Amino acid sequence: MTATRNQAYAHLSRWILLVLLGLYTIYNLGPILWLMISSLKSRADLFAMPPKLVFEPDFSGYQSVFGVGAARDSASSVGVFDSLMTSVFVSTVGTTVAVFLGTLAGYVCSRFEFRGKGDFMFFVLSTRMLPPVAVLVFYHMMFARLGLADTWLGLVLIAVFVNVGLATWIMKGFFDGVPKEVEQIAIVNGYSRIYAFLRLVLPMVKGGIAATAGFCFIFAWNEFAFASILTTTRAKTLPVKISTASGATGIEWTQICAAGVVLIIPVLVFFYLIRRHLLMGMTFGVLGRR
Amino acid sequence: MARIELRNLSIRFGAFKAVDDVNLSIGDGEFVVYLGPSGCGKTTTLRAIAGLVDATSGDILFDGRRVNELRPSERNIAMVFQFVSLYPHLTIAENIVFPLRARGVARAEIARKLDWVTGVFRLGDELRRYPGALPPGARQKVALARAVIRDPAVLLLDEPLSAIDEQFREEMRWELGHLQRELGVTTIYVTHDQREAMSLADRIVLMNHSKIVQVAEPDRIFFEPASVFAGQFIGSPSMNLVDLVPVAGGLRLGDSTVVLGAAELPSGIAGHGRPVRLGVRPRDLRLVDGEGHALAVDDTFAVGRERFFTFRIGEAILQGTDHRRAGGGEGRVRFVPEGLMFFDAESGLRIAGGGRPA
Repeated sequence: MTATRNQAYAHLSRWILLVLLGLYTIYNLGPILWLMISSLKSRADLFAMPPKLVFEPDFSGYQSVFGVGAARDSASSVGVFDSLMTSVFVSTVGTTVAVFLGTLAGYVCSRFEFRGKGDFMFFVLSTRMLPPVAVLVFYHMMFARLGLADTWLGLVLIAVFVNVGLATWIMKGFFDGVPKEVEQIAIVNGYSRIYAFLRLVLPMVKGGIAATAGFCFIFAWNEFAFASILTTTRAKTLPVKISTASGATGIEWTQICAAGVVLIIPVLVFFYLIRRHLLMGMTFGVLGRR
Repeated sequence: MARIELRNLSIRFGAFKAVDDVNLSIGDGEFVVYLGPSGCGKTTTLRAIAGLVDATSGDILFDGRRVNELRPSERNIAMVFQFVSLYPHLTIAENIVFPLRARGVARAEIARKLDWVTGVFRLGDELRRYPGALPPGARQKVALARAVIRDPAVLLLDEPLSAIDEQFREEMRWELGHLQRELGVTTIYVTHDQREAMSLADRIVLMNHSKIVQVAEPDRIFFEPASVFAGQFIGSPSMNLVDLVPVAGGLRLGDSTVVLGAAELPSGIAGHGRPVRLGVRPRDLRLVDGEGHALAVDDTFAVGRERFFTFRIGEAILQGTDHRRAGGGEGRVRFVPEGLMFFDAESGLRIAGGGRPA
């Protein structure tokens, strides 16, 4: 009797769990699905009431995002392609520079004691804690004076700025996981520290570098606050463009939705590529030195 | 091969004295084991000899030549650490020949040496594999092979066996001792495991609180410990300690009724004039059927073939060996006179007793 009752309870709680998970999934993925469908609808289909579930796919949004076909130069084009290029360039270069600097700084912080190290580490971390909005105005004035406003270089500097602290901290963690004996054996045997760093330690933190790069890329790619204020026309990143895209014929919803989908893709691809490293990277710090 | 000398070596980290005025001379080909609790300065001394840590003051000499200013790579030393520090992205063979590559040794010579060392350590089947594929014990073998491949003058081993399974450790310990004698390389070995030290060392350097407590052969440090610390640190189960109280006719154990008389005491001990502590190893504290002191036995237990008993004196629990015949009676406690050691209660230094049994 009780056995069947328990079974019934188990059954019920399982169903409740499934329903909750289903709702959660819809809550999370619903907007993305909606976005993807909308990116393929023509203007007329988009505003049809009731919403059309079956429709003729319209690729003009994607054509203008990638700058192909007639859409590129049409009157309704709002220059999403240029923004995509800006975003790709800024995120890639910004990530590369931030990871490069973060790796060097992380190694130094992991291996060497120097005066004010604790303060330095805190300062580095504090650059991440700062709410961007608080200092936006001053950045804007500074960048305008230096001629960096609305340039790719300015955006790269911002991408480096928002990421280098994070990269330093993550990489320090990975270097802490490499026993210092790795270099000591090399030094005792007559190799230089530079050699030990480049040829022995770096290969041991490959996964860490990949994970760090992934995080930095995504932060740079998604960066909105600084980019929205510091760029006006020539160097708009994709997130900024999406928020402001309007053309001669009003707001280009199809293009915006297509751009939104494109915005999501690199994030998915990046995490898919480094998923193994990422798992390893996450557990590496936990497992520590053994 | 090299003689090593430490003269008034001190090492400070800020306000902390890690090594405090240490003097030691190590002979060519000698196997010296640094023994002591963690944080006693033994590893720091080893690293100073390697040149990985700078001496704050004092000299380090190799064959009479001061090496303080020499870089680690100029000292012709090899090291093995507790945590296996192989390079995971290099094969076993590449790991082993790593020290030779740095010196630009000729290819044929590298091959010859690799052949020799893999023979010694029986690593022939593993050469093409990566460290990750080997169990920790085998990895440490590779680390040892890497250390000896270039005939170092000094071999520095920092707890090389601590991270290895008990079973494999015995085997490795035996092999290591054998290899050291075969190569005749001056070896300094750091451990906190007194059994490792006792079985491997030509001489043990016992350290505590940044200072050397005693330097002696394993036997001597066991039978003639310099202090209470040395007596307790070496030997298992560890030495019993009881304060002695002078009474008429001898010395009483704590607040018990047991009085050690003239027959059991070395001459002169009664006249020491200062508080004395007795140290006695369980094997010299026996529960017997014959003559002895009447004491209330707390507990008896067996560890394999050996039987032990315990009794209390005040707060202290003392442990001895049970020598009664099976089914024997109450038993009496006998203190083996040769095994009694007497320490000054304040300084902890041994003032009488001890010595190797005839």
